[in-house]
Amino acid sequence: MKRFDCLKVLSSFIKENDIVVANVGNTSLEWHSIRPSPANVYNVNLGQCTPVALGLALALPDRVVIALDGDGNVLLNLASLADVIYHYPKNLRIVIFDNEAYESPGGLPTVTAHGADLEGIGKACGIKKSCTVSTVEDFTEQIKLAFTEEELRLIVAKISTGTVETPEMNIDGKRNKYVFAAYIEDTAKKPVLRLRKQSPLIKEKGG
Amino acid sequence: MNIKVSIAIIRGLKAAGVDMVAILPDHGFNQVQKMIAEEPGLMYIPVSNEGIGVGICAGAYLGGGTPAMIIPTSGLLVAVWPLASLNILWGLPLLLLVPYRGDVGDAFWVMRTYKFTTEPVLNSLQIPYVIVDKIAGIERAITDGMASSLAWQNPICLLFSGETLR
Repeated sequence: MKRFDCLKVLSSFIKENDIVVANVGNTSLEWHSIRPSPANVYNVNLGQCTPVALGLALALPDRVVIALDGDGNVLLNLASLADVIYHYPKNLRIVIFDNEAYESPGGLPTVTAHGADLEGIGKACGIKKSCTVSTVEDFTEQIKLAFTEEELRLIVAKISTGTVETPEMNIDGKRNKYVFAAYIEDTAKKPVLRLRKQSPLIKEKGG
Repeated sequence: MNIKVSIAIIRGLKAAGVDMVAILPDHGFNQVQKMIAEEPGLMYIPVSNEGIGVGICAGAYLGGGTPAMIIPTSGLLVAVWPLASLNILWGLPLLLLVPYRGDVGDAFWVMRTYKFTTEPVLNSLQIPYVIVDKIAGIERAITDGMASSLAWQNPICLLFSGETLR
């Protein structure tokens, strides 16, 4: 199973205002090529993809938030799977693309290649709806459930290594932030940036 | 922990518009952390390491929330990587409240390391900080810190010392 095929499946279910947080590297490049959207947060660095998605899910409880995490990425901060339990946000979905390798820096195996079981870890952390899939058909079935059942869900997608040709992506974190903030301000009617029109010191002095 | 400190911190957080607080328990601030867990209007977010808290707060801010984080001095070191790779790189605000263990007067050998790491690390990360050592200054430090953090799109750290830790 290839990540790109899974992402195409996800794009067929996702709604316009569903938020996606993608981990750094090929996952972001592939997702951007399939679903370029201001509702995406790209290239979230090691260990932070699921935490950032959790923060968004808590701040925007009426939005579906999907973390596109990776095995190496989540392994750096395994406790992030445990920390989703306290609030158990029903609007959060975590997809871990598990290629059993640190692919970007050369392909050395992660511990999932030696038996570490991310689904088992998810279940042990308390994520009741945790599963592992290794075919596009099974992934499709789980994604379908993820969009029909309002419940925290972890999908570990066993994929092969490798990526596809993707177009240039001229989006750094700051550009992503401003685009995403404007999108949230527009669609959720919540201020994000909150830049003042003047210093509070001027206001205090009455001028 | 002095109850006046806890009350002032909660007042300050509310006055600053903070709506969620990521916390990893710390001996110096355990009382206020327990009070936040029970305080209406402040979402209590327990984390298992401070780096996760930074990520949660980054997401919460992007979603229009106003998060803050209360972490131990040691936890600031744990949080360095996500602070560097998220907040500093992306320009994301975050108010950090840290009981400054190891400041002069905290005369216990285990705490020594924090005197020699805390302020240099904050300087290296270009995170402005304020040392809050008077109870009367707590509320204002929090509202000023959050205002500057939002306006500058950068983390701000409040290091609690002196009578605020006694």
